[in-house]
Amino acid sequence: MGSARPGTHVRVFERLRRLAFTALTLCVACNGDLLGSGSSADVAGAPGLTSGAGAASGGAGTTPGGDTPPDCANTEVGKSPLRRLTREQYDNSIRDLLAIEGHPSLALAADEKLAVFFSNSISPVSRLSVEQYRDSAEELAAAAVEAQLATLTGCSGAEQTAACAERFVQSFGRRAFRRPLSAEETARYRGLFDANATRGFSVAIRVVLQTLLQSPNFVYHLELAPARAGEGVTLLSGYEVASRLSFALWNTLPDSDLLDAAGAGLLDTKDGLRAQAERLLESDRAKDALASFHVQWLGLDALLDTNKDAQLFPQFTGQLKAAMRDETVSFADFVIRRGDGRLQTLLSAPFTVASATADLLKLYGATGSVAADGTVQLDPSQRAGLLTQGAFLSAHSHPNQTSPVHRGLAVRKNLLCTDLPDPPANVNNNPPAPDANATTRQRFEQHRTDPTCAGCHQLLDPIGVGFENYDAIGGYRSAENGLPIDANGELLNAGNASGTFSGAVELAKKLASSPEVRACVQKQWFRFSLGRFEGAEDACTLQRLAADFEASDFDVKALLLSLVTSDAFRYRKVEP
Amino acid sequence: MKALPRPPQKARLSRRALLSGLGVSTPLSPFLPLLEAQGQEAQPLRLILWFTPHGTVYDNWKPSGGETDFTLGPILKPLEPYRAKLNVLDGLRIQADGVGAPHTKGPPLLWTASPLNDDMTFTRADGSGGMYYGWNSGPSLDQVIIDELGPNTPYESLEFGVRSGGSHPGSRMIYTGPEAPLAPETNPWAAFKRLIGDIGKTGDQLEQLRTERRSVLDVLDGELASLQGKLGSADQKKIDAHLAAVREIEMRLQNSNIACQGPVLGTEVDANQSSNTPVVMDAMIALMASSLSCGLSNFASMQYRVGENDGGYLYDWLGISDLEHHLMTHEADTNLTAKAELTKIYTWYAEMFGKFLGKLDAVPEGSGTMLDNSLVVWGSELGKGNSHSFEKMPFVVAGGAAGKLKTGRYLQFDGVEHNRLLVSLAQLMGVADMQKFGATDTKTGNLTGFL
Repeated sequence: MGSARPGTHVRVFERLRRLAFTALTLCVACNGDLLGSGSSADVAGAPGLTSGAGAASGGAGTTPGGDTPPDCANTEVGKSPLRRLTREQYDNSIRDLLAIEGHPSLALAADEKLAVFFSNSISPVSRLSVEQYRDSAEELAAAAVEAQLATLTGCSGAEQTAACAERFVQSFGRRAFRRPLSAEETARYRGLFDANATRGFSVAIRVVLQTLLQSPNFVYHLELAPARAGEGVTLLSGYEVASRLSFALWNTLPDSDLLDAAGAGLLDTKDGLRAQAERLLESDRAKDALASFHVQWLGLDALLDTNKDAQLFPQFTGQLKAAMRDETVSFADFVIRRGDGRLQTLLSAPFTVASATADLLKLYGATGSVAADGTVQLDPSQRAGLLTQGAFLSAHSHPNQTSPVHRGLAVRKNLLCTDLPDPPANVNNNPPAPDANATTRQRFEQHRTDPTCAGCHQLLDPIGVGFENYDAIGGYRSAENGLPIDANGELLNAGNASGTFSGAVELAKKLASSPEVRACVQKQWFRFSLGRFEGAEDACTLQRLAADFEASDFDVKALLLSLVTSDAFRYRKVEP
Repeated sequence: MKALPRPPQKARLSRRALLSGLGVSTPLSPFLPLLEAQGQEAQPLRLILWFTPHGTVYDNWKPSGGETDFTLGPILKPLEPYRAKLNVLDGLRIQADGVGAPHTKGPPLLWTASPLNDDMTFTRADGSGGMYYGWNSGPSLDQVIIDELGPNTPYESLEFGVRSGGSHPGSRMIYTGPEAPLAPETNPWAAFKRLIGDIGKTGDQLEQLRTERRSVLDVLDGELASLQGKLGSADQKKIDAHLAAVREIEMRLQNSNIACQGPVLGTEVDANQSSNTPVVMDAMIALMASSLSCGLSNFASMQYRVGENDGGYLYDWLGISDLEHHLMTHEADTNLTAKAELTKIYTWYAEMFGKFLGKLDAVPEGSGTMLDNSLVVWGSELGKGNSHSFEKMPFVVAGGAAGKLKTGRYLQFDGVEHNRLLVSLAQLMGVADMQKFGATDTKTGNLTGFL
């Protein structure tokens, strides 16, 4: 799930987050009296994590807002609204169906976004969207038929008959719809072929193809397996769970092996499902999904469209940006699928991947020699996993300066799954202009000293200043304007993660082993792979996830395997 | 659907009712003669809604002088040629209580006058005082009027935009109902192909394309209809909307006999590239005007950028090279450099608006021009950028609704809610008995002094 390529809609979100939380002159939305009885106390009305229920990863009470442990004797899952393919899923599906590369989805309307992940699950199609699907399908079908009619259909020369066309409808349709066509459906498409047959085989195939690509069966993640009478949940059909599995772990539609497994009933059991999930994770094709997740999770969608002050950061070229994005996704893929898989490693490892470019390594001051295990050592006093990589640090900075507020916000929202109220109206959101005689920390002092600002900003800036040793493109610095950098920070109202720290490496390690971050990561993967938020009825799934994650010493692969074999993944709530 | 204060249902079936209210298995053909029978003598009025982000610089926007002897300020100066056909409305406010940040709820509030849903659609956080908000809760004015009047045009409405963001309330202003945004066309070259391109084809080619598309739509129609009864009601609504859209396209194929002199668009450029904005705007304005003059629809909208945040690039074509628009709006009123640069931006907005008016005014129609038979309403999601104020919303209404509206006026109001304007517009467009509009409407009637 995710957007094919950052577009203006994504920049809007990125920019909103950036600009809503820079310097404030008034701050009345947060209670000014938040520092009550200690850093991990629950202060009424205070944004941030409450310690205990809702924050801990294991144990009772993972129901959001609830205190009683879930029953888990009966299967209960939250509702799954009908959703359409995202742009990324559309592009990847087209790539696999037609061997056409590129981003045809850019001609489609933008995706809906729920928190950090794209998912078209709430609003219906626009009238325009239906025409856009049509235009895209016509163009793709024409190109495919022109370039590869024989390979596509398996019918060449004398075999270009109606019977061959019907076989094409069934085999291609099965892949495009992620399930076999019914007899009625096959007849319908065969009828379409016949109606156009006098125009020639290739035209008739084109018309059939363009229809398949506009079909609701292609465009929607349709889940129709009916429930037995009186039951509130239904087990997804093998094909339906295959589709969920493939989009979750490969970010595209199922390959024929997975469809065959579904057809043979192998996905109807947890063991069978798990076996296929393991196959998918073993394959390099899993990198697409891991990349999509990490880009969205870390707020990197807009990175490729971000620009920096050309005089201050001339090295921040298109290539460097691409290299940064590449590094983060390759690193995540390496750790999860070939390394120890652990969240701790993702968030605190002092190495990067062999594919890191020379420019990027120069930014890190690294030699670039690749160790036997495929890693490139970085300075452990400077680099610790995802949060100290160029991508994260650049995405959450301004063009000409860093941003303690945005970096703090990214940690709070994306890693701790908490949120803050809006800044009040009538505040000047502009970051204070860079000052040749002060550090960034000093320029943002007002957030700390002004009681009307401090209420909210103490939850952001003290995290963000921990990153001050990294400039606006992630290069390490020990001084700013000749003045020493003070990167001492504090996590407030962060449950068990609360406390002081010095510098981003220590912060990363703190977060890497925090129960709150683990719980949040579980939720983010849930949201990404199911395209919806978790609800109260998903409590049992979340509890199981937490237990499995912990039992594996927080191995993301284990989390994913637990997720795709969970009730929330295998069952659907039946809605009236 | 949340109940709107609405006038009693008319006896005549609206197009929308035909498409959506009668169940998916109803064949279309019996109703075609009914639609074709709606002969049109006089040109129906047009309503065009026009959006630019972040309000304005009030001092430089407001005219000086009295109701009819006013002088346009620097920002609205480009509209001088249409002075006699304008109403400048000063002092309207938007009732903006409810969830959502100002920039987020502003675009939906502008034309729906209804708050965002107080739900957790767009965010989820644990035990925090986070910003919960959902989609819009009501339809926009244009869609309500369309519903009432049931126009017989190939397109019910046409949405156009320039870099209009994603699928999110802060980036969408036209809604057919709750949680039902309409996405705008943002690429004028693609839109040209879609709207007008086929018109250039020869009779045979065109007929073949139509036959082909009809056979495709027939299959899609069947597939969507066959989902009936297999989905929960919330999901079914999405399929219904999809099916309604397919049927609208089908109807268009059956009925269209449009002869359209399309506009000449320049060479295609990347419509997402901010530096191409002036070229894209020009093309979009030309296309919009052509679509209206060809009668493709009598309802259109232009959404320039997004209410959420007009940032991420510079207005370099205006010589502004240091600060983004949104950031600039947050400078203090005393920052005269920012004020001057913002004024440049808003003046450019007026130039674009004026360009569109010029295109309408250049086409003779009836005893006047297309502009005379239209209402072109320019608004924004906020009044003032730095305070996020919903007071003194800058509204301009161009066109005289075929003589039903007095023009050439500068009207000042003392904090009157804009629901009154929306009601007035609906009445002018022919919904005679509308008295209230939007869930925020606590009063009734139209805007005193305007009608």
